[in-house]
Amino acid sequence: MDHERELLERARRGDTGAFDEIVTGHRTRIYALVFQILRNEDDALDLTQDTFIRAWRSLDKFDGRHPFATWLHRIATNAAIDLIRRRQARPQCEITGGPMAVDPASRTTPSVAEVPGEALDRRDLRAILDRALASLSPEHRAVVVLREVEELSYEEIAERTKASMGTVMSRLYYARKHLQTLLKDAREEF
Amino acid sequence: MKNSESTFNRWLDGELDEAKAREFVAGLDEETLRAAKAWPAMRELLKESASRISLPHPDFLNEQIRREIERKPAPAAVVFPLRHLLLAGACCVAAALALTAFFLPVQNHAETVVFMAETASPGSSASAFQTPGARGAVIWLEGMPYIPDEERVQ
Repeated sequence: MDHERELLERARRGDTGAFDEIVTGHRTRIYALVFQILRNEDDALDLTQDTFIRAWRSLDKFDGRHPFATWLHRIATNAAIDLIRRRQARPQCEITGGPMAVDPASRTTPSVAEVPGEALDRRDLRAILDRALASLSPEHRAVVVLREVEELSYEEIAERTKASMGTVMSRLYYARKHLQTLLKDAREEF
Repeated sequence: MKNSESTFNRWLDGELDEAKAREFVAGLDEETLRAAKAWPAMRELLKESASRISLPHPDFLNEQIRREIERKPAPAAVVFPLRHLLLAGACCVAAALALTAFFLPVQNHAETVVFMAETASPGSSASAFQTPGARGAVIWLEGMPYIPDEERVQ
């Protein structure tokens, strides 16, 4: 942590080498967060890069009251949500019945480091869950990821997604119900 | 927001108090209860899945970021010229105020207007006093070594 503070100080003074070290320390988690929301490798890579460039340009605004990782995650989430909103011109499909809108051309399988010898069942379950997540709309997926993986409160999710509490609750409800339905058959294996 | 949606979420997240949770569960069907029971395991799986996502070509990403931030001015390089500009601006304003105070007439309590002027000799000063009603002005010279005889008022 102290090392990171020192790196941040150096980066603030314009040391790009120090910032490079910071990028290395956070890049995978930022990519994973953005990828989980967008489910598209190219978009996730672009937004990861954009997140760090935005962070570099706003380093003087980072006051150190919260961990740097939290600040970065906020930038990344905002960038992902902004991208989703920009693309909202496309017709949306609510989860009232069948599968949700997914770009058929999108790469929805993340790069996953396989562990040799690991039980196939667990891998299968993760694959099923990934497919189920991919079938959610980006807005619903964002809410699920922010709640279940990032462990944000409902209020924080509303603030990050620029949505009302009602919308957050509604999206979370439908997303969870949808996942539960899709994972019904696999549930016994959990 | 539908009340039931909010209650469902809070119940699944364990944020309902015992009495409310009991009341809520009483109204649920078996299938929903079974799904909810499996939810914590699914949450773990979600986290596990997230933690296993790996970044493709990580060094390439660093390289791209490095190129981009080196192409644009570093934050320090952006901040300091701005500060310098602000400092220079403040100095200019202060100098302008000082010059204005020096050359502009200063009102004293007796409504006498005092003019000050710079003199060629650094040790001397010249002030001119004018009172509008008096129809006259007094020129006050200080620090002059002497007044030549031909200039002396007899």
